[in-house]
Amino acid sequence: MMPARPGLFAIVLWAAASTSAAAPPASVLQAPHAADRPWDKGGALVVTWQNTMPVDFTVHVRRLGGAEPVALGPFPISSEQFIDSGLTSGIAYVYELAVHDPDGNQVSVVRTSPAQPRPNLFDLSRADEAILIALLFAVFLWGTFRGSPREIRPIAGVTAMEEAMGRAVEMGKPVLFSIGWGAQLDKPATLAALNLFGYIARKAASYGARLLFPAHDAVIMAAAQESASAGARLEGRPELYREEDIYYVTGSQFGYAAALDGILCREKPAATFWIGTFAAESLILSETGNQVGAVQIAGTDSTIQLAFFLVTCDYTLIGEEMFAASAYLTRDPKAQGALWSQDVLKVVVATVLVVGLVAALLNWHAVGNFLRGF
Amino acid sequence: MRLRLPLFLVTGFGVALLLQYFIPLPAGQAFYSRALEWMQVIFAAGLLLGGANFARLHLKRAATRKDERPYSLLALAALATMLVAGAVSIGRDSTFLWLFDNLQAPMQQTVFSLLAFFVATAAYRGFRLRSVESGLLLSVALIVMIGRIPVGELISPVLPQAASWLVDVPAVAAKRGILIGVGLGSVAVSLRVILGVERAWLGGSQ
Amino acid sequence: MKLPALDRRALYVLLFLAVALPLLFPIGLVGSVSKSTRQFHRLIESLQPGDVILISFDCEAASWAEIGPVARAVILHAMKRDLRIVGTSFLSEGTALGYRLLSELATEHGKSYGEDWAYLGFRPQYVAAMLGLGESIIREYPKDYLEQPAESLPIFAGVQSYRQIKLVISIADDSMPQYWVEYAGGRHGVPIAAGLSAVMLTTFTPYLDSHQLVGLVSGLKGAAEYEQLLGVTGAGTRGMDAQSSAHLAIIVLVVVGNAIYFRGRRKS
Repeated sequence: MMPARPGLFAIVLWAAASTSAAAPPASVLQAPHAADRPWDKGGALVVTWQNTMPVDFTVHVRRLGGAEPVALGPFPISSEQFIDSGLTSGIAYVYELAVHDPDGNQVSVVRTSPAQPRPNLFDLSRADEAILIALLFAVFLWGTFRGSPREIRPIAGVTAMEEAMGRAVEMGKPVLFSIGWGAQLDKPATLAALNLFGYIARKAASYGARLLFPAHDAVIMAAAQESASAGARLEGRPELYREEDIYYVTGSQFGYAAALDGILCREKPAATFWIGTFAAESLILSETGNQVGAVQIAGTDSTIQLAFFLVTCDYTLIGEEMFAASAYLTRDPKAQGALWSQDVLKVVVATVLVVGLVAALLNWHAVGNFLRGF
Repeated sequence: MRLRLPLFLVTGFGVALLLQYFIPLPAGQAFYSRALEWMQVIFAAGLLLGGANFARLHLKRAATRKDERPYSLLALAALATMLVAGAVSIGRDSTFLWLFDNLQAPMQQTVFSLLAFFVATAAYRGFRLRSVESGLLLSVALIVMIGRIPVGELISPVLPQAASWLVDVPAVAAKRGILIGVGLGSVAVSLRVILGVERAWLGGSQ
Repeated sequence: MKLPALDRRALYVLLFLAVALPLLFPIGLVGSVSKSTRQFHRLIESLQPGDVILISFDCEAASWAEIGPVARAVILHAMKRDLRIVGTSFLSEGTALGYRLLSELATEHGKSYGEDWAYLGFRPQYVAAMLGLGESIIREYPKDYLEQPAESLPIFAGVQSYRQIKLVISIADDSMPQYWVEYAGGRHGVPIAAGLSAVMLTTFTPYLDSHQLVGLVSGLKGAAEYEQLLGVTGAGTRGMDAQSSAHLAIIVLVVVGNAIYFRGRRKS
């Protein structure tokens, strides 16, 4: 049926068409989407959209799905994504994206489909640590199986160990070995100290010296008993192993110190070995050892107790000399190779330190930021 | 088998726990949590082992060594007393706590306080002007000792600043250097244990 | 081994008098406050009333005479700021010491247990516990030190893990703060501060410089400085007299020792 006034009708139609062309479409945010952030440890979602609007519009977000809705943003519409973190893995979240014009009026709102954050196969935020560890391991493995191209320099404290043992045998007095109250079997320093104890135990068996090992930890005591027993067996003198000389004392720090002081005063050992991880008891032990006239050889990874041992002991293994000692004594090619790798890595670390120092002095921010990122 | 099983376990767990740090899957996290629980169980078992060894040793000494008998009996009595008191109650107003407050803690503090006297004798003997290095050690020690007390500020405001600088700069620098070496040594030993090259913990057998 | 020309026992008596006399007859020596103590003080000041902090008493009874004043000053400040405190310990001896101190100060300041403060008690295997706190405090500590279900305490209503804890303070006489930095700070990002014995200062200064620790107070001197900032006189301030006197006594002994040494060298 024709309209009564076609001209007027045409004008109205044209006006309507023009107005609807200027108005935003029903859904201004195209392809709103929420998905798990890849390569993370979970707890984060990435929310994206495609923008067709002027850049001065903003997106106000509401997160639905947790205990209560949470308002996020506003975000510039041109950013087209944001990352929401601190979420709980396994819970489905929905995001309501509301577009606001520059005057603050809401123009449209859309929702994403539900998404769950979840942990992935690899946490990319730890990639730098992974690379560093892989490099470290590669260098150590290479050194361990390649062997060392150089001889280890003599370490005074280590070469004195045999003299100390000999002195004890001549005087007919026992040898005392302490691994330190801070030692635990899962610590590398304890393993290095046990390695040295194995060597000392074997030497004691070969010389016929009595070896005392009061322990603060029963598991370490068990390992030391095995070591001493194996040492005596290897020297063909299993009868020299005395289980009652390797015993548990107490786990209390100063109870341990008091017990060892009592042993030092009663047994008056000719040689004492303070090798392991020590805490405040170090000076009490070494000073008492000094008072009873023992030859004292110490080695610890604790930088604080080193100072006390340096003042009171005849020989001190400083820092990693304790780790090197077993390689030096046993002449094991793999241990010597690992030691050589340590030296290579120390050169690398020193170089990085110098580069960092120069970068800091010359304000090379890029280099500084890169190093700081590690 | 006696050697192979522990080595296999150490290598397996070492590698698994290292990889777990980078693989945040729920199975990995659950494995890690369970491993930590096992560590707690092993620690508790270690305490039992230590207590049993202690009791056995002192029973033997009490029976065989006349001169040490009173001390061994005292040690056993102390062990028994704390065990019984702890079994009854370890909370507030308990006998166990009373024994800790009035016996254990004062004894610990007494032995700790021996450090003060031993520091004095060690310093008296150790800080001697024998060489350039020992002179340096002596002067640094004197500056730090005076600078760290209020009397140092009364003598000169430079002393506390010098003491702080000596503690914060050269001392820390030396410690950092030692720590770097110790850190690398620790990684090397740990890797040797995981690979089965280091066997000191097994009883020294290579 | 007898010391040249001076019996060891004379040294011991001298030192004993040097420490005992100032404790009996206080002098009242006061020094300036160090940068690290001020930083720690500002850190606590920056927290808001109602914020939850975790204090771990990782120390032994032997060092309590030195560490106790540090802990007391810090807790006093926290309570004055109306911070809510959760206490724990990873060394068995520190457990009772920490609980006693917290309950004493809580009573003085009218803080109620369960709402303003709670004590979770001792956990062995600190690595497991530190990591467990990052997942769920209630799961790691089903019961508190008083054998009550931790879930029933109002303080844990909004506190599930490190995410709701504003600061962790380790009161330590050994390397425990290092593990807090590695396992709690490194993995979960919670800020870590430390109250230490004086001998640990050089160990942890690098951590402070690299911002792995956000605050550090050490020794009796640190406790005295903190008390000065709070405007109170406590064991730290009183102990500085004895510490000063002991330092001077050792300095005198070193000088005398060198004098005897040089006299002996000239004679020979």
